[in-house]
Amino acid sequence: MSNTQYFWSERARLEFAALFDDGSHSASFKEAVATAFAKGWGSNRDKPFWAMSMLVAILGEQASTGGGDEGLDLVWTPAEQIIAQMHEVAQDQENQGRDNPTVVANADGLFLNMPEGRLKLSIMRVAILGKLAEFLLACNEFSYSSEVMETLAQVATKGMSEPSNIKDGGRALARIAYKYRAEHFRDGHSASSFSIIKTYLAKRDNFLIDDDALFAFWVWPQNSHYKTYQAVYFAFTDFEDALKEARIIQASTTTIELDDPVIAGELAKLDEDMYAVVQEELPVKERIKLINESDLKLFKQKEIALLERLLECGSFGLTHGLSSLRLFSFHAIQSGISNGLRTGRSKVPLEQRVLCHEARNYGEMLNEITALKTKSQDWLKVALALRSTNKENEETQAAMQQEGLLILKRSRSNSLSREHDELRPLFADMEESLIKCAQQTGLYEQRLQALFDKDEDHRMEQFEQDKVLFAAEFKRRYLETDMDEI
Amino acid sequence: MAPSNVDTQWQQAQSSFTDRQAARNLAKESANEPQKSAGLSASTLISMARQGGSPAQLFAAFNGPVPMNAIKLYRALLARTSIGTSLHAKAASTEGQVERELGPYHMEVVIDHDAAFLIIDLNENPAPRSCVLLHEDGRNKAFDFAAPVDDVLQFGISRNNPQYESMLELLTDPVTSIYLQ
Repeated sequence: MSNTQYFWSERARLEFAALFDDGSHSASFKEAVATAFAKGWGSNRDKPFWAMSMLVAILGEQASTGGGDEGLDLVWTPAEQIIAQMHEVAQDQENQGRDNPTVVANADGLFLNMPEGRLKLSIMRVAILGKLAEFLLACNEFSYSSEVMETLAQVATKGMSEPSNIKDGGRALARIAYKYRAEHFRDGHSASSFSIIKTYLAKRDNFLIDDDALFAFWVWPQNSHYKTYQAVYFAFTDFEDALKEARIIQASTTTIELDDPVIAGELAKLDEDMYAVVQEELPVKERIKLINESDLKLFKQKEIALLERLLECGSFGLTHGLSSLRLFSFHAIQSGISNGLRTGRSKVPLEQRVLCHEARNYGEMLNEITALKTKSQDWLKVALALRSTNKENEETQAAMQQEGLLILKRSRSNSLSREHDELRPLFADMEESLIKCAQQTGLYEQRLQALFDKDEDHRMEQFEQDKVLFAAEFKRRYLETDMDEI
Repeated sequence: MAPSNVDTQWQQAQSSFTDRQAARNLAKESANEPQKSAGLSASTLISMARQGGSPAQLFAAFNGPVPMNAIKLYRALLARTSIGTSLHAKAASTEGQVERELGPYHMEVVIDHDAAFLIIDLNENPAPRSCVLLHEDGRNKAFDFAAPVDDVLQFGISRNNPQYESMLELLTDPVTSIYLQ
């Protein structure tokens, strides 16, 4: 990929990558950090920096370090410990009967009471803020680090006593992020991407984005911005979301239908929580990281990758089912081709690879998704079975408990051969994530099945047809075009 | 002419699209970078400081000049693993004698013409095992102490040895940070 293809400068790419060289971090965690930095939370770019400022102020009031610079607590103290500290603060404030507590812990979780609303705190969220602070300290070869250190120190010293303290701190930190983005992100590149997609879709009724439009845009000669099918897929995702946000097109509503009544019941409860009580829920991606890093090894790496993929594609992926199947099956081929070209090493010769013989067919993809759904549901049943307190519907409960425990018994994973008392809290930690996984895989299975009316021949036919289309485009791009242009 | 409602909506859509693409592509494009040295990251500084890593180790791990600001950050971080720290001298030292307070410890440097002595009064606190010196400009030294005698640590510096001479230079410079570990 030539340099002009990138949105971010080389410095930004390297500095962002370096942020994670202290250990292994999942792709979704990195993405969550990038989102907090470049886009903010909700539709508010400043929000993460306000949260950072507030957290540092509360930590400063705790003044745990003594002698050192308290402003750096956020990057120094492990996120788990910060969360534990915040629970203590919440408890203290409750005991004091404080009118406007800054930290609140209740059955829904732990919250920062920010001037703009409540923000849910989690280990992951604190870890994201820590990485964000690290990035501000080190970015542009440490050119802002004095300013950041001074700002954080000031916020920590003044604490919550001065109302303007949090605001000033948050603003100062956000300003640095803006400056960096202005310097290293090619707004012009993004603006022209936007207008080229706009121009293309203007020919269509109400900017209709469907599977044909997505594929046709990718092969459109005037599309010089997005080389890979995947990049087009996500650019269209962002375009559609942006149009919805600006109310140019209507946001569609996705209904949840899952056959298993127990799981459906849990889902309904969760959705109520998510939308009614907790407006600032954990991003879905943070949940996957939780599953990935749990002591229980419930999923294989390959399954985690597919889960991440489905969550990444989100609701756009559900409403553009065929585009998603194409992405799942053919992006692997294109990514293999470009890796081969970049490294000069490839097990399969280019002439072979462009033919897409290695592509997984849509039936195989669907089977993988179904298997993953079953597995998520099974683990969820185990989690519910281990949670012995709920007695509201005893008959269902007993049957479910039996089933859940049987699943547990049958599993051969080493990480599961421990006492129930030991397993219970571990499963409880992952319950929400498992519900989300069961939900997402179930939705994808349903939509993708519906695409072909569960007709296998029809599905195979579509795959073979798409294989020809992709092979032709790969051939044009990689065999018939002058390599310099790639 | 004032922009119409539709124009405003499209402007809003464009900026929302830009934010989304910025966020999405930062992680994706970074993941594409082949592993070449990205320079010094804050996380490297933090994990080295956490292990009480001497500045020499830090500079060795990093090829090329270390930015001044990174040294400043490292000085603040190193203070967190030290039992006594003095980031800089409070007042200019008097002739031939340097004094500093490092947390609960009191430090003096007594300079004779062929030898100097670093003397640390422990004030009945646990004895530090080593000392790190880190100047604003990155010059640094680390050394170990022997066991204390009567609540006092002593470290002799011979003035005939150029290596010790540079140590003395650092010790007496008010902008050198001193960490007891």
